[in-house]
Amino acid sequence: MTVELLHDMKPEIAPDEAARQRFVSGLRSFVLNDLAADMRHAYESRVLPAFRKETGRDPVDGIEVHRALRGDPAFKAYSATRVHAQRMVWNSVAPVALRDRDKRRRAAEAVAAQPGSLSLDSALEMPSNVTAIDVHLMPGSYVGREQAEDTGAIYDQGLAVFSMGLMGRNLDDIGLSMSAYIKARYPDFAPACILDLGCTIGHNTLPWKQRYPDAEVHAIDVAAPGLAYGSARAKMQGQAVHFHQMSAETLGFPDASFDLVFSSMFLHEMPRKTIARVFEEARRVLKPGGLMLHMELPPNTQMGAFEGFYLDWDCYYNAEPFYKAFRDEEPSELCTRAGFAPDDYIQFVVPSVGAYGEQAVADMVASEGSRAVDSQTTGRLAEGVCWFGFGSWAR
Amino acid sequence: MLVRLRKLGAVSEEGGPLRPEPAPIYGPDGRPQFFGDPATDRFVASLLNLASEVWAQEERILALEARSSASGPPTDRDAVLKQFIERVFAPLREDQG
Repeated sequence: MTVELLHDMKPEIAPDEAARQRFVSGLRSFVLNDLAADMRHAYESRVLPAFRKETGRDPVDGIEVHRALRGDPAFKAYSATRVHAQRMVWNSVAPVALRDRDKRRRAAEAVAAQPGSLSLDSALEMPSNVTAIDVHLMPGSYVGREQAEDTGAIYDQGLAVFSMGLMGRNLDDIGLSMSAYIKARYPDFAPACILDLGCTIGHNTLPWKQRYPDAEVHAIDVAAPGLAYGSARAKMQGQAVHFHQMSAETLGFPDASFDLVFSSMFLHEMPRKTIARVFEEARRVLKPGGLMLHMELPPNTQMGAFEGFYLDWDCYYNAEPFYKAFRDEEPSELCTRAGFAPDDYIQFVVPSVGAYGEQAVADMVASEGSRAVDSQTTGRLAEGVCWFGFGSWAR
Repeated sequence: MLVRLRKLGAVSEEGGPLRPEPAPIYGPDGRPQFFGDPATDRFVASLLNLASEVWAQEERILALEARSSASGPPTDRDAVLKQFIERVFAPLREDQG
């Protein structure tokens, strides 16, 4: 199912447009549930036995699974359908966002005086991993081209179609789930100052403000269109968040100024050298006792070969070229390389609040249990999704 | 038929699974290519677009029927869409029996 956005930036859409968006969401659900299950079945029933017969062993990693599967009809059906369904996501919302531009401008102007702020830096050098690639096959990536002003709206509306209802009507399920876990697991942790890195439109920033209402919340991104849209989007929901156009590699904040530095689905979109600098900056701006926390795709080192292949598919076919290199990293080592102590590392798999409810998170914490990373639901945007988080406390 | 397919190299000597087509990961247009002939990938895109347009017409019909119907429960469009997709794309499914 597709979802109607909760906030006042939601567009007015014609019945045909709504029907096309509903179709794309339904098609993606079919691909990510039914065709994905078929591909796994094909792998286990014919590809894996053929591989074993030829090599006398099992595939050691996702690359070998990919090579073995690539000629199989189930792989082709899944992949060819999924790639075009992704293009259809953006095609189904771009005309709507363009037509709705004036209404959106008026709505943003109406809330301009509300608490919160927006600071743009037109001199900021844009990184090529954002400008040179149509990330997620989204035309113009996060900066847009002909429709730069509409980019935030396209991303918001596209994500609603893309996520098939699994991220909720405010597209904030990741932020809600992660903050629910932190609040339940560390009840004495009360961050007064929170920073969200690579926030795009701030959809996963807002849950932190809701969870910790007294906190001062800042959110940064290099791409201005999403920030401008996200700032208005936050104000319409009465959430005072300070948005800044800024690189996570060179944060314009003093040392030891935040209690929590968070990111969601951010690290896998950048080169490894950039990730290293982002972690060092996160450590610099954290106060002693503060927490660096990233919601990300689970690492290949903690998954089976097929699961690794399945998640790395996006690296090859969804214009996310840094995806696999990030997933090949060991998250704990990323933290220690940046100067965090090994004993201060944390990681967890949290059930989606939207899918399982807040009580499921509380129950998991109370039982001191944790879902396994090597699960068919971890990081997969399909029925029963769970989210992977990792990070480190600062001393 | 099987003999002809073997001569073409489409099936293994044992009549087992299809051999991988020698398709590169990306086609001449730089886009992902999954079939031996990149034109096939384009036809997949056209087919999906067509199905989307047929569904849009289906929703129009559902709306007209709802308007002309004096009573009865509202149609669950997500459920109807699920059936539509399963019907149209059934040939893509694996027989897991």
